[in-house]
Amino acid sequence: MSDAIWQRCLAVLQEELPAQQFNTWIRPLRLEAGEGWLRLLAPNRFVKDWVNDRFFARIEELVAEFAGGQGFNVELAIADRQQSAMARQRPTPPASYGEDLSQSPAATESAPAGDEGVAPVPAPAIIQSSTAAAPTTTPQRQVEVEGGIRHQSSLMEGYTFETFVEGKSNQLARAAASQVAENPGRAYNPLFLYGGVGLGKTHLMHAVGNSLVQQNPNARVVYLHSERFVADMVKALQLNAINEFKRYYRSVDALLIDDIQFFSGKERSQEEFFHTFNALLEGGQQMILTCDRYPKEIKGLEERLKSRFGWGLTVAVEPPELETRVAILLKKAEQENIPLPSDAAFFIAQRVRSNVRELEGVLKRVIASSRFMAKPIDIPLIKESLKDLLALQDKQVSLDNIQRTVAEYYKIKIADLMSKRRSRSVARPRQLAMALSKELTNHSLPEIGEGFGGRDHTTVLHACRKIKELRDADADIREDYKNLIRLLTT
Amino acid sequence: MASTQLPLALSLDTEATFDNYYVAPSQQLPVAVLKGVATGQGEKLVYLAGRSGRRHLLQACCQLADAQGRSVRYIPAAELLDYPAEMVLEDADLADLVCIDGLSAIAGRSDWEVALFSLYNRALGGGCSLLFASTDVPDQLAIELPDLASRLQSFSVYRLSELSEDERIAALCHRAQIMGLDINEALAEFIYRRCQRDLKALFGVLSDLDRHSLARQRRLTIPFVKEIMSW
Repeated sequence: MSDAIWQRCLAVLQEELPAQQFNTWIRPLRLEAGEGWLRLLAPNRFVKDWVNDRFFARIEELVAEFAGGQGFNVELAIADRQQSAMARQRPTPPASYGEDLSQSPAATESAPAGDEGVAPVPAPAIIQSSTAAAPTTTPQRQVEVEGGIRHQSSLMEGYTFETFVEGKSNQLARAAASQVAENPGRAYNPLFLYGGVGLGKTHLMHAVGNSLVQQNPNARVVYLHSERFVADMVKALQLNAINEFKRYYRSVDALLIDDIQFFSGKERSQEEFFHTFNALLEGGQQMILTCDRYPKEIKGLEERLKSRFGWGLTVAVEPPELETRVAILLKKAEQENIPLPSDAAFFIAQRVRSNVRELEGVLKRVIASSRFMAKPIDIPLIKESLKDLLALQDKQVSLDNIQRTVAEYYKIKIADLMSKRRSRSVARPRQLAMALSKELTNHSLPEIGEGFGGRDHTTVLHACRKIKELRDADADIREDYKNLIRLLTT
Repeated sequence: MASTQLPLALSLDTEATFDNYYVAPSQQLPVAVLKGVATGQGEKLVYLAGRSGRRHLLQACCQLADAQGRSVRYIPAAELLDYPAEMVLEDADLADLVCIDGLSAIAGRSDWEVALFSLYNRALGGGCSLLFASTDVPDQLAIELPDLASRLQSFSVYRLSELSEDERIAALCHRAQIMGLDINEALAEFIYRRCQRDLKALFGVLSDLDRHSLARQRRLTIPFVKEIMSW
């Protein structure tokens, strides 16, 4: 009866609304119905509010009309994430669920009736796999553990040690990760990988996870982004399911958490993570954490956490040097089955230097051009397909630009860089700017000297050598240099 | 219920399709890529930069995806800045294709940057394709969250180059043909030289001319156009 009423409402709304409005707002609503009531479940709050503001009055009118004078109660609520996912996979979801749905801790307890209007899910069901899952993602691998909790590993199967390109910049991290994969919970625990964005930390983390799963298909390996940990905890608190949350995260064999700098300033999450951390460590379960900086440098993170992060092994992942960038490009092209001549790989690698993600993005674009134009990849094709990027780089990395960026970074005046002042606060940024000019432009030493207030080329040479020395000896200078390279080349 | 236009352009413009878009030679690759994104057979992370034609192509992409039975979320970021980012992007990754236009508007808005970063992470782990767009390429956006900035770099970036004068005139002829108007190149150039030269304005003039042509039951000629437009 209720179903029929809703179907009639849908037919009318489809007539009345433009197709796109209907498809955007009405079609995603799912129906729950009972005797004398209808509940429409929106996929999220945004859709719910939108429908409520603009269409709900009309929906009520239509329901009243088709109910033939019977009093019908119509409600609008939000479906939980699992229901939405089900809707995506199965356009016509079954009316009831017979399996266990829990895949994240917050979902292990049904929402109490009335909480944001979501009715308790009668009996949850497992999401077996996402039909639209990315080919690189392990199709929702789930492992059952005590208490009926099911772990969703979220490991990306494409990220393995075999597909990781090793170079000087990541050698140590790669070796440490291999050790962890061979001796989980014993070799280095936690393994803390840190470094700039897009340098392969996540890849290594997944590689360990995949290796553990390969060795033991029943291993409970969970990868997640730190933000997800926070979101799950908040949800668990809202749903009064914090014990489930704790049990979930403490019962894994390996917990891999990405970008833990996002815990910064989130005290309650840190507290919870601290206890999880301790429990896992005590239980000999492996933890791998990544961060964009050295643990001690994370602001807004409790000291006790910082100190614990250093209990295992802390390894830096540096930006890849030219040879590694070339090797990465060749490997990616090989994976795509695209012939990439090495001079072409060199050409790209010389121009894209900031991180691996950018390399991947650029290579994808070159491959698309090659396919579209049905031409093999060579330097002229690369120049054509990347002409805007190359033009932008030429425009950006000039002496002027370097001087402006360095001056802004150190909060000094550009005029100071040109001046004869020799105080440390000015001389060091000046030396850095000269070293960057040598590194990032094709200007000769005399040209660079000329650009810095008419200095001699030997002064520039000295600056380059000094900065090289300081980068090895002084973490601050190393960090500044890296940041400036990033600012100037991205 | 009257089918009034929503105040925010959250719904798709059904007029925007690939068929009625004039594809200049320099735009053939981006258009081919977008069709691949729409059908789910192309790249998963695509970024479209440019001014003219961007919105039309994004909407066309969403229309095509929708017609293929794929679920689509179209999010014009600039028009939604006052809404909580987290709420707007919540569960967006459950769609097959999420298309976010106007990324330059969110640059520097930490709530939006974090929400977008989170969407990226969720999408990467699932099957959702992301199509982002803005006037500028990712490197030129003033994104403050380094994690997001680096993620944007993994997108394949395609730039819609500005159309040349000849291409704009060709686009005018193409649109006229779709509208069933008989316009030769000389008349198209005549119109082009006398009004604002962006395509939106040109197409607006074309609609006016169409209306007058129908009302007066006359073919479009230079004298007739001069008369009705008071040029």
